[in-house]
This record gives sequence, C-alpha cells and structure tokens, in this order.
Amino acid sequence: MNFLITFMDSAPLFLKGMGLTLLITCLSLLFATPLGLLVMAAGKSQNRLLKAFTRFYIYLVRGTPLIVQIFILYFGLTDIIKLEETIAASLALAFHNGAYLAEIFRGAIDSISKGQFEAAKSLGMSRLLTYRKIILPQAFKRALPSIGNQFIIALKDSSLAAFISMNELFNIATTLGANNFDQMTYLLIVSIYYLILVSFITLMTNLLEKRYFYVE
Amino acid sequence: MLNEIIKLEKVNKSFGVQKVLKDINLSFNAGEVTGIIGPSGSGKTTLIRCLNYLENFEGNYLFKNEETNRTGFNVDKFRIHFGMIFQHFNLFPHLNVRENICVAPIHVKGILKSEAREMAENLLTKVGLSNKADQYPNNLSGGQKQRVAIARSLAMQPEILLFDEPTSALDPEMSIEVLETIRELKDNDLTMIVVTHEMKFAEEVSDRVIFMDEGSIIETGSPKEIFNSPKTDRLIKFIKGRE
Amino acid sequence: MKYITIITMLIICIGCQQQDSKNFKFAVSGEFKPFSYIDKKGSLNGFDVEVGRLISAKLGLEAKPIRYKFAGMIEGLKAGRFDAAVASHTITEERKKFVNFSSPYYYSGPHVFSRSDAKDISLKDLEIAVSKGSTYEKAAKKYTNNIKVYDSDITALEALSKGRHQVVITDLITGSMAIKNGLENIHANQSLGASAQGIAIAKENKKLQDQINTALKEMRSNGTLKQLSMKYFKRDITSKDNSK
Repeated sequence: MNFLITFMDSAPLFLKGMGLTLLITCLSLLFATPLGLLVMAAGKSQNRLLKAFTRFYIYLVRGTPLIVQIFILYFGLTDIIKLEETIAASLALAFHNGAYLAEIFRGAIDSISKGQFEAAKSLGMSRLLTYRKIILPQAFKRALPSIGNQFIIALKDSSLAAFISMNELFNIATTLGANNFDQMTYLLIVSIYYLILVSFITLMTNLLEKRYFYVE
Repeated sequence: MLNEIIKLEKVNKSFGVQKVLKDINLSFNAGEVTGIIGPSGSGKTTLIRCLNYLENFEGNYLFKNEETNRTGFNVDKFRIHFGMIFQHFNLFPHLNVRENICVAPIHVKGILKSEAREMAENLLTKVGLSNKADQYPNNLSGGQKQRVAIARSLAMQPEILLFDEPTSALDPEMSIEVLETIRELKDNDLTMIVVTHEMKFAEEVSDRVIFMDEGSIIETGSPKEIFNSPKTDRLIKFIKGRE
Repeated sequence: MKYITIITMLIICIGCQQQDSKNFKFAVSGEFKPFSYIDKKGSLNGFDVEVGRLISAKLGLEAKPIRYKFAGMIEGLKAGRFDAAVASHTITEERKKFVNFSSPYYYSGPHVFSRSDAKDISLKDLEIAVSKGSTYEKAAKKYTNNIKVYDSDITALEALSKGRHQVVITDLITGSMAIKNGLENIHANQSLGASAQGIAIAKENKKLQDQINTALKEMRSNGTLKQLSMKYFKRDITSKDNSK
C-alpha cells in the first residue's frame, strides 16, 4: 500500500526521467546504427588503412568501460569542445554501441552464404546493389535478435549518464532514495519503469521478426 | 553458320599449389549447346565459373573477338551476357519467386516494374510454375527452385547460359523436370554450356561434348564420337565407370 | 553434493561476518577532500577519518574506516553495515528521524561557488549542481528546480570549473580546498548559513552515542580536536564561535 502511494507520488518525476532516458537512448541509437553500418562497411573495404582504423576503434570501445568513455566525453574534451550533457551521454553511448552493432552486422553478413553473392554477381549486380538488395535484408533478419538485445543493453546502459548528473531514471531513483533514506523502494520503482521500456523494445523486435519472417 | 563467341587461350588457374586448370585452349560458338563431362575435381565447374569471371585466372579470354580484362573492362556489365544456374540454386530466400525474377531486370537494367512483372509471369509459365509467383523459395521443391533459377537467369535475356551441375542436388524425379526445361530452351538461339553428371542428357542435348580430367581437356567431339567411339583410355574408363 | 555443502558453508561464513567487538567501523565518503579522501598511499585520510581514529582510540577499539557512497550512508547505518558515519553530516531534523547524532564535531555551512566573481549573485533559477543526498540539495531547492545531482561534491565542482552548470553549493572548506588544489575559474561566492556537523549512529545504539559524546568532550577539553582542525584548516572550526 505504502509502495503504491510512493509509486504514484514519485510518478511525475520518474516520468520526466523516463523521457530523458528515452531521449538519450534514442539519440544514441540514431547515431549508433548508421555508425555501426559505416564501420562494418569500412571493415569490409579493401582499404587497409580503413580496415586498421575500424579494428582500432572496436578495440578501444571493447577495451574500456562505458562509464570511462562517458566521463572522457564529459570532462576530458571540454578544452576542445564543451558538449552539452545530453549530447555527451548520447555520443558516448553511440560511440560505444556503434562498435558492438558493427560487430553484429559483420557477423550477420558473414553468415550469408557465398552462393548469394555469386548469384547476384552473375545477374550483373554491382557490389553496392548486391549488398543493398540481397545481402543486407537477409543479414538484417538474422541480426534482428542481436540488434534487439543491443538496444536493450543501450537502454539500460543509459543509466550511467546519472554519473554526469543527468536526471534520467536511475539518477532520479538514487536521489529520491537518498533524500528519503529509502533506496530499496525507489530502486524497485525504477525497475518497473525499466521493465516497461524493455518490454516495449522486445515487442518491437518481435513484431519486426514476424514482419521479416521467411523460411531459411 | 557457326560464329565464335568465346575463345580461351592458355588459361591456367590454381588454388594455392593445386593447379585446377592447365593450359586450356577452347572456343564456343554462338547458339551451340556444349556439354562438359568428367570426374569430380576435373576442373569443369571452375572452367565455366571463369567464363563469367566468378573466378580469376591467367591467360587470354576473348569475347566476341574482344579482349576481356582490358583496361576499362567492367565486369558487372560483362556478366549481363551470361546467365548462371547453380547446383544449389542460390535463390534469394527473402524475396518471393516473382521478386527473385524481377530484382535484377529492375535494378540492373532499369526496366519498368510493370514490364518486369509481366516478363516474370511469362517466364514462370514457360518453366511451368505460373502459380508459384507469390511463394517464397524455401516453400518450393528442389526441382521447382531450379526452374525458378532458370527463369531468373532468362529474365536478364543473356546470350549464354552456364549450367553448373544443375541436377546433382536433386533426386531423379526432380531432375527429369529440370532437364525437360533445359531441353526446351535448346530451341531458342541460346548458347548453352552445361556441366553435368547426366551422361544420357549430355548425349542427347549437346551439339558438342567436352571431356575433362585433372584440369585438362582430354577429348572434344560430337556426342556420338564421345560416347560411341571414345579415343582415350581415360574417357573409355570414365564412360565404363558411369554405366 | 560435497561441493554444494562447501559452497553453502562459504557463503554463510562470508554472509554472517560477526560484528567484531574489537573494531570501530566507521564510514567516510572518501570523496570530500579535505574531510575524507584517498591519500597517495591509497589509504583513507582526512579530517573526518582522523576524528574517527581519535574516537576509536578513546573507545579502546581498532579504527576501521570504510568508504561508502554518501547518498547511501544513513541507510547503511540503519542496515548495520558499520557502527557510525564520520562523514560531515549536517545535523538535521529529517536525518534525526532515522539515525542519532553525536554532539557537533565541527561547524560549517553551505556555501555557493560560482564561475563569475561578482559578489552575492542571485541564485534564482540558476542551474545548481550538488552532491546526492546532501543538505545542499535542500538548500538549492529554495532557488530553483534546475538541480543537477552528482555522486560527489568534488565532481560537481570539477564540472563547474569545466564550464558546466552555473553554481555549486557545497561546504566552504571543501570548495576552497578544491580551488587551492587546482580547480580553475571558480570562486567562493556567498554563505547560505551555518550548520553543525555530527557523527551519525544507529538509532538503537544509544550506548555508542554516549561513548562517542564522552570521547568528543574529552577531545575538546584536552585540545586534540582543535589541534586536528589547525592541522587541516589552519583555524579552529570545531567551536561554534570560530566557525565563520
């Protein structure tokens, strides 16, 4: 009963926080998805420098914690450019997820059989057209579950933006918890909000999987 | 009226240290149906894959008396002269049968969608699958898949059709329907080069048969010459082994 | 089966660490220089830590300072994760509902830090950064809804010095020390009043509260508390009259 009252009382604040969480997540994925595609394409190119660069980028992202990347963008770059915190957090998340998405895309493309490339080639399709019409749609279908997974991870990782003072869901929860000396209640409440958001992503992924279904 | 369309001179190809094509000198005439036979690993598949540059190789390749692989040679455009039928069909599983047929004409040749659709319907009727246009490839039987693949190749209106063991992934019953389809194509002016294990079919449909072994052409001749009076020991042994 | 038994025993052993009666376990934030911080050797140090050590000595116990996020300290205390928090808590009625406080061990007050060096700027509707769970957040709420919350005062100050937010409300001494330690472009602006800082003890531990109060009394009368203040701040912040 008490929990319900606290839940209702805190709802306006949490809903605001949820908006911010969604904003950071969406912004970051909006950057990360094309970035991942670009990095994947660069990794597949014949240009050695480009290839080495993508490897280095993925190495950097995988080799350092996301929270470090966020702090670097927030504090480290201020001498060069002062990023607004929403942008800093979104960019750090985009930078981070771009690498993982690139790997997901690459894995999916590598899983498409050589015969598909050959059939497209023998119909006179250019490399670009082959990717656009034949390979990417199939790879996308195969990558969908992993992409959904990565989107969920991105959403949950956005909680790290709390450490650069963004009033997103997690920061709201811990601040309310500290001020009311009751972390547990607010952590349970914030879990509900995260579960709702994650369910939404899961639902979207399932719908897309249905939409793109065909027998393999 | 024989008209040389393809000429290979001293073509060599190796995978690592293994030589798969050794000094191939060979030409094909327009409108002619050539069957290529030989034991597995003899290089016959590699040979036809070289013809549309799915493989790179050393040597000279003249197409209609013109050097290929010269500067400014556009391999994508060059491949439009050829249609290729694969052993494992290689249909696009994410596109339905109609889209499989239309995708290249629309995006490579720039044909209108409505035109491409109409062409697809005609081709499907031709290969006896007019009711399958909306199906996805993996809902079809092997034989039906291969017939769709043939229709897909024909949609690009190639001059030459390359068949890479088109029936070896099929059981005998399905092979028959595919072979029947290929046989019907013979009446057109198409140049066809067929790598096959079906000796009867090769004998019946080919104007000329080539026997390959260990990367070399051992014998060339009319079906009668090859199957009724083979000259080399290797061919005799091969034909005996088949019967 | 044996394996499971061993694991279970291990978990029980770790889980039920006996409250060691020979130790005085106290929490500090470690992010509130010079009151508590990690020194070059990697151990906890600072005014709060040394006060805790002196009290331990008075109690005849071994000092066990542990690092704990400030925002969770009151709850940590309630849950019995440590005996006391010597962490510059301002004594407030609100906190008193959950924990007991010792008599004040020093006096200070929320102070405004800003990038601009104009005197006594108006705080109305400014973007104010504070540390989570601090009384400074309360103070900030009087002026604005635009409050940014960090896990530590020092991080908030650093963000301010890097051009983020407009002001930070924190302790005068902490802020001044941060400036001395190299944070650029920020200035002490104005005081927002006085406060008394106390050691927090769990509600049910009345005995410890009395012991700590006795210890503090002794440390005042024999001058050790003042000495400590002089060592850290070159002035006496431990008596109310000198705190300004």
